[in-house]
Amino acid sequence: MTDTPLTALPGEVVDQAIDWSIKLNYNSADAATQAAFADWLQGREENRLAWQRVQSLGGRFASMPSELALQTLGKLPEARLRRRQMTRLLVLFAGIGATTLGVREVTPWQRLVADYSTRVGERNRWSLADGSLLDLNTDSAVRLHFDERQRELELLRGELHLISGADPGHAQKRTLLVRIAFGAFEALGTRLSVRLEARSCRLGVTEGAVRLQPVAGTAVVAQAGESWLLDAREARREAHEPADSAAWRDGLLVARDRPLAEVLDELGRYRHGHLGCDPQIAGKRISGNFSLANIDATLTFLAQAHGLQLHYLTRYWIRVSA
Amino acid sequence: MPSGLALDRLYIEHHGWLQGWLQARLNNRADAADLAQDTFLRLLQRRIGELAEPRAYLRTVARGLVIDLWRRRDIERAWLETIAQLPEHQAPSPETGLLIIESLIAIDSLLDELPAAVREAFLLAQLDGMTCPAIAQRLGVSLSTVERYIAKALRHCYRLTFEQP
Repeated sequence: MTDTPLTALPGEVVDQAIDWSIKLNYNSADAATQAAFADWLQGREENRLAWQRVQSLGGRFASMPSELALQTLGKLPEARLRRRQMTRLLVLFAGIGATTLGVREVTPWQRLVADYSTRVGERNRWSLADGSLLDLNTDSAVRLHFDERQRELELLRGELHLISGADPGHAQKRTLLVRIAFGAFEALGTRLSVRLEARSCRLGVTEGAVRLQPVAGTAVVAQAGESWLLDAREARREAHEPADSAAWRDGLLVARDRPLAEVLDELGRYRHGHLGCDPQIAGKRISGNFSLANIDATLTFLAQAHGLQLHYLTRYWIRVSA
Repeated sequence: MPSGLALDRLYIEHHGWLQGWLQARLNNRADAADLAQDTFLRLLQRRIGELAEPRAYLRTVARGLVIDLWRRRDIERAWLETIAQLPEHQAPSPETGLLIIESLIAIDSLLDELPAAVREAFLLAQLDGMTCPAIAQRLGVSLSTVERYIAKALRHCYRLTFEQP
């Protein structure tokens, strides 16, 4: 075979091969689909190589005793959670710039390149060198870039809350910035929280003011008591109170008349596995203060309070029904 | 690769510190000693020039080894728990068990970054040979969701297998 691992294929060809694999390997394909696939396969040399590679991915799963392997892997999240509670893996990742020499030893988790990070279900607080106080919510990672002119916090994933410090020892006060992939927030004497999502970012300001700068848009200034949504092009004001969205610092989720599906999405951030509900009750209105300390207990409480049923399909797959 | 002398010096100057660093994290003297040794073995096998910040580099290598060690322990324990439930004559031999554990470690590190739902759907497809409609029914989600999960997992495996430098 002439295929070397270094031959790069265009992303769209790989995506096509994966689409075909799903139609042929993971579904029952009819004759027309198979004929269309044959045409595609003969179309270009690249297609054939991409197909070979995608097919080869299943190799390491072959010849395993499937039931035993599935059971073993199913036990892992629980084992990890137990150990995490005992040994505080976090200590390993805190306060270390792992990228100093550009060495990547293991799977490139965002956590491994971060200076400060939390795992799923974990919240933590640090004092930074400039006197700022940084809180990270569940499953979050931040990298610091401090230099003579500015103090930049790069939010790689998840959610942070920041109380800006006085920055002693610097005659010229340095700019304090939170940077995300599609924009930046400049703190102007501030308490603020930033939550990163797939294509946008939420900002809450509880004190002072913040300048929002979308990558490809005009800057605006947000005042205390305001919530904003930022994407690459623009910043928009939102209706709810920023205080509610930062309640996680006190270990609480504050819901005021929110749809059940949203509340479950929020709670799902703090535990491993899938947490969903039947579509008929997704819009049911929920209000309350929910503890984030033990999500399973909180779910039981939520179910009892609203007459709902919890179904554990597996330990990591929970569905809520009426 | 550092020259023999440079490695000697590195070892003399930092071995004690590294072992202490590991012990503080592992709470186990023997594991810390083993991993400190393994860290220096890795340096021997690798081409590296003069290290500007040797301790930062050693920490990075050692951290990877700690994660590998924990992953292996988790999987070994989970495997033993799994086969403990089997009638004795059905349990795989210890030799087979070792091979399976190796494969499971490779699979687990490959799928590590994927969300739990994606991972579960993909494992059902790969290990159990279930089709997308069957997985959709089992997990109570739509067919298109399962197909999206499988595509995501395949893309992820492809990237790690063929696109990583």
